[in-house]
Amino acid sequence: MKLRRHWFSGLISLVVIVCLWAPLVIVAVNSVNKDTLLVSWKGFTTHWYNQAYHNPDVRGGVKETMTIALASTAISLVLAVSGSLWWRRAGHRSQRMFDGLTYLRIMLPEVVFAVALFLLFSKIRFPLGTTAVVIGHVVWNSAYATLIIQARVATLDPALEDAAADLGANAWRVFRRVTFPGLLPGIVAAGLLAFTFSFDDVVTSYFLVGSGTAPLPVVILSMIRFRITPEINAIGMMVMLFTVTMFTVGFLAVTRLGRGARRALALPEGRD
Amino acid sequence: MEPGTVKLSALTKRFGDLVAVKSLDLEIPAGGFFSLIGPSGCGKTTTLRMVAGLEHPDEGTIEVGGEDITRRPAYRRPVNTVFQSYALFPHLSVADNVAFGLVEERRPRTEIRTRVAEMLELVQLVGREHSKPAQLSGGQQQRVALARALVKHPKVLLLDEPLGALDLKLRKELQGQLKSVQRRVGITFVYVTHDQEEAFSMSDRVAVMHDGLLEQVGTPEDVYRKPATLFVADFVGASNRTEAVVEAALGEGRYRLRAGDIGELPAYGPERIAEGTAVNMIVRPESLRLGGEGYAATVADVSYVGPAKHLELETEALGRVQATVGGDERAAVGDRVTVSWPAEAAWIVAGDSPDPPNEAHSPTS
Repeated sequence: MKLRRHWFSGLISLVVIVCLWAPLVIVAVNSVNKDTLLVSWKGFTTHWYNQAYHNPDVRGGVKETMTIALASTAISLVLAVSGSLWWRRAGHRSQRMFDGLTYLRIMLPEVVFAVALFLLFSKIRFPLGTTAVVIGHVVWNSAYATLIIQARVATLDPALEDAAADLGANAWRVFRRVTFPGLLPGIVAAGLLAFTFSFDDVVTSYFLVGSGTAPLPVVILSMIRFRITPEINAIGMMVMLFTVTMFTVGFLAVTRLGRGARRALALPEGRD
Repeated sequence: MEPGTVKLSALTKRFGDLVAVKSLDLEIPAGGFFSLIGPSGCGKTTTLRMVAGLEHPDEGTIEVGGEDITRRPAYRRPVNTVFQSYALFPHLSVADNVAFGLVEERRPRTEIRTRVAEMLELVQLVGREHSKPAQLSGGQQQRVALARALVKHPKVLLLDEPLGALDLKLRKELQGQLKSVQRRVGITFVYVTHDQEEAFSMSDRVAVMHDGLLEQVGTPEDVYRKPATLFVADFVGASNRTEAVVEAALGEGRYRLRAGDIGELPAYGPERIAEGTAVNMIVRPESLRLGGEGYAATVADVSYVGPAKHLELETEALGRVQATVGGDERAAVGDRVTVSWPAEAAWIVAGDSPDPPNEAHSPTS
């Protein structure tokens, strides 16, 4: 049966696509626009990129964001892997409790956790700053990572671990040679996701950064509070480029790791 | 004790309220092909997993080659397993799968390479070294699993229904291969299956389990022809059963029975059954003969399976009986025939609980 294309749904799709992508196109164009006021095209320049590149706030922000994203991703992955492996052998009630706590961290508004942590840290006099932000990010990042890795754990055949033990591998070697490789596609997928979430987070970071170096999204926010400079466009483009590159590389790595990875990313099955 | 001997003593395993294995005593001789058979849930796989160290017994001991390994972790036991699902490592090539156990033993690389190559030759997988398990057929995967376990030179090889997932033709082929591999390597094979025919065709000895208890151990022929319990009689094949009372013990396992409408019957059975005991007499369908002197019967049903015909016969004296006759025998539904059997084909099963138990465990005596 041949499906007729409907002109109305086609039109809706077009409008959606235009609305979604137009802002990005404008950002891209203006990032190389000579016009300081961003009202008309005054010619090509790389000045804004240069300016953003040498802006000490931006540079500090990038470094801070990277540190936070890497640390919170790493911690989240460790928590997610160990949690999921525990969950696999846990009793039914413990499993449900664990799942509930995971979903809650995703469902509750981020701002609630951010405020709660802010109050808690003030109360116990835990200094705000990089560590505090990392902890804040781990709250929800570990939940996302857990969901992905749990899905992967559920597909692991326990007989594989039995077989490894039977062939002479102790508990650590079983994990190292069988369980971990089995989870790897899920770990990569979860890591990419967690890194991206952490990378562009504003809410949690804003509450918990204190007087320390602000991460990039917070820097951008405070920059546009006064005036939208063309420099913002350049920063936006660079962030976008970085994220897209990272995701592409990561995605290729994951698909190379096999079909199971695609399942972990909930992508359609295809040929290897 | 020989290195490949397995001795289980009073082995018990509980899962919550369920007792999977009840005080099992079993000695498996070295170097043979031994099968544990029984219906699903009878405790055979649990027993195997306890020997492998993948389950831990609540009571009892496990010895291999005279050494108590009950408390040893799986990775330090001199046994290896071929799993039902094969459990091949999907991320490793065939060669790396086979090498897995040797890498854990920290063998030198050259030794690993030679032994893996030898093993792949034994299981006829030369040329597939670099394939991933997913690229192999079921039969090939099964052979990789076998090679992976055998390459460790275990004292005992445990096989948990390794042919269960294969189609009939391939099963037959691999049964032959397994048997010949066992003869070549001379390692004790302990084979778990619910398929008695498969067990019989490969094994030197079989043990029949039921509800966590050992029902009988013996050669396939003994278990088939001289079942110790009604359960064994039914599990290993079809049988015709008649209730009777022992009228006279004639010595050397010969008896005279009296059965309700039929009258006196000669039969064989285990020794020392007291006169007056209520027993069951069983006769295998293929022992029944048509024609000549015998009980009058009417053919009620015929099913032709090629080499043989299975008949359902309606008799006045015995009720409905099953007979398996040659495929050439002429018999059609409604035919009036006579049916009989040689006295040595009639075997006595003394009730459902074999007594004394130690006799049930060694019916070869």
